[in-house]
Amino acid sequence: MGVIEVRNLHKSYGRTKALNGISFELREGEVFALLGPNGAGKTTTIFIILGLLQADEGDVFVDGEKVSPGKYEYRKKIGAVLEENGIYERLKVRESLQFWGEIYGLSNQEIRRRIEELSEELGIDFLEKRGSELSRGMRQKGSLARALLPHPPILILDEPTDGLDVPARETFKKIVRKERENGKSILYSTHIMAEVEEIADRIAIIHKGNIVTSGTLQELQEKYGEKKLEKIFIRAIGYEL
Amino acid sequence: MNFKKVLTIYKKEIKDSIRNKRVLYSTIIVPLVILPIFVNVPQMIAQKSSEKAKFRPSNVMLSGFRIPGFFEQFARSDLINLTIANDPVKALKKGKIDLYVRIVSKDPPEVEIYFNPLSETSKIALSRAKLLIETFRGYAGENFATRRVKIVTNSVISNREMKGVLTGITLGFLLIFGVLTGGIAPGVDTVAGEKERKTLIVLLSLPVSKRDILTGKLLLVATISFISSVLILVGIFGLNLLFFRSPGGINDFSILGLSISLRDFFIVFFLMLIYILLASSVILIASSYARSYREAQNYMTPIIILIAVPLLFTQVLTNLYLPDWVFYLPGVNIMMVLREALTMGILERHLLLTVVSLVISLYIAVKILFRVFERSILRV
Repeated sequence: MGVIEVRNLHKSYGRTKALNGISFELREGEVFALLGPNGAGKTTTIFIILGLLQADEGDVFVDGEKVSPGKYEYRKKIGAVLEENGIYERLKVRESLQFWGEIYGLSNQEIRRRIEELSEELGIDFLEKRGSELSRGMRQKGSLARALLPHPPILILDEPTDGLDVPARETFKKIVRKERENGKSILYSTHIMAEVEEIADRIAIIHKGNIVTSGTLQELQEKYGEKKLEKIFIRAIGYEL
Repeated sequence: MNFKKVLTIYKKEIKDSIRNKRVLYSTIIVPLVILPIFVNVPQMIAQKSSEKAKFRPSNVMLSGFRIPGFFEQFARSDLINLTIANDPVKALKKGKIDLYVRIVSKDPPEVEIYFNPLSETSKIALSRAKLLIETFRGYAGENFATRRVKIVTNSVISNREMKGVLTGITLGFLLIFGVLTGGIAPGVDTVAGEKERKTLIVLLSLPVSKRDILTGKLLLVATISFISSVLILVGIFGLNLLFFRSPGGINDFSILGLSISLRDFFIVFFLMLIYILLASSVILIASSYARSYREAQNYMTPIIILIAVPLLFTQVLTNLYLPDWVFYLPGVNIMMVLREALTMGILERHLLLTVVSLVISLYIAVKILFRVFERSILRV
């Protein structure tokens, strides 16, 4: 069983079907990419995994535990970077990290130690700055620091490099690779093909609420007879040029 | 400046605003309909009850020396209804009778009239009685007709009680206003603001329950509302310390020259705490329902009306002894309990009604708050 198991998820917003029976699993120690255009259902899937939304049908298991309303302790195993960075405008970055560490139930000593480690690891030299003073890149780093703070075995990254400049993206990818080397299981949601090609072990292409294909890059290349992920993607979603 | 462009933008903004129902509500419905209703209705009630009193016979109790013809003078009047009470002063305070006339001397003729200056009906009864006495002609044989009856009027409401009634209304209004002014800004920011800044959704993705998040936020709003109310008291007490002395020593607090017992002080304090939680919950319901900071701010006008305007009805509650229904209304009941604390001491029955009403209202508000917050997550 994977560290995250998603089985036959259905979700509608009114008449709009966001998810139409999605199933996949995140295996231990891998980077699993959910690749799809905006509105494909990636964020809805992640929100259901995190318990922010309830599925109309289907189940999610995190480390064998079924996700259901009212359960939140399982989130201790997950560090999430969402599209929304969640940085508090009026708090210093150090104060925000302290707060999140306390929410994860870490001791003050542990939080202090982790803040020092992460600031070095991620190049955070703005601990004493308030959220309102941070650039987009700084905010994403702060958000990643929050996700890594409790040493969770699972990382969920939803469009983490969206809006970042090229150097910041490179730094981010480097960190993701390092975390995989450290044994973390990473669910990586994005619409950027190049990122997926570089860092994903397995890929699922999601389109209009369905996973249209999945496998390693090599398996997908063989299946579609295309080398570039971009072409594979276009063929997988049935887009005609 | 390009005035043509300014005009174009202005026209677009006007069109946009006209189509915004919330703007229409706050700029047209509130000032034109809702506020006038709330301001005028208490006055209309007061005026109506005053007019009603003008046509209703006054309940008057007569006692003391018997002057021939004097009782008959009152009994003949259609506007006087003679009645009796065991304790006329207390009955007058409670509004059970409107006037108490005591003949203290037959010769020279002298009457003492006791009235309740807080009661409109009592004041009307006083003027009726004075007119009857001034036009009274007794038996000529007793040489009474030629002598003017001396009238001494006494108020059954002491200076302390009079001051307490007025101060209780003002002080209570200020305290409750303090709760609102203190609680609205953090209440709007902590949920609607966090939704808009997308920090709430991230917080909800962490290992913490929605209940814990909301309770923390409720306590924040309550704390700031509490500080705001305390600061109002500090301001009033500060002035008070400069100008007045407490008559009761260290066991009494003094407010604007009025004393309040330590027991009553803590009772009012405790009731205020419940009320603060109630008002904070109501503010957070609106904040949770709103999708944005601005939307939440728009909801605050009706919230202020909902919470503060019923307090205007206390204008008509000028009697020292109040009817029970007053103590069912959250906010109004605290003002009235404070008034009792400043006049005759808090009555246990009224305290019980107030506590029950506040606790039930708080329970309902918190239930609604948790439900609205839970549902609003999907609206983030």
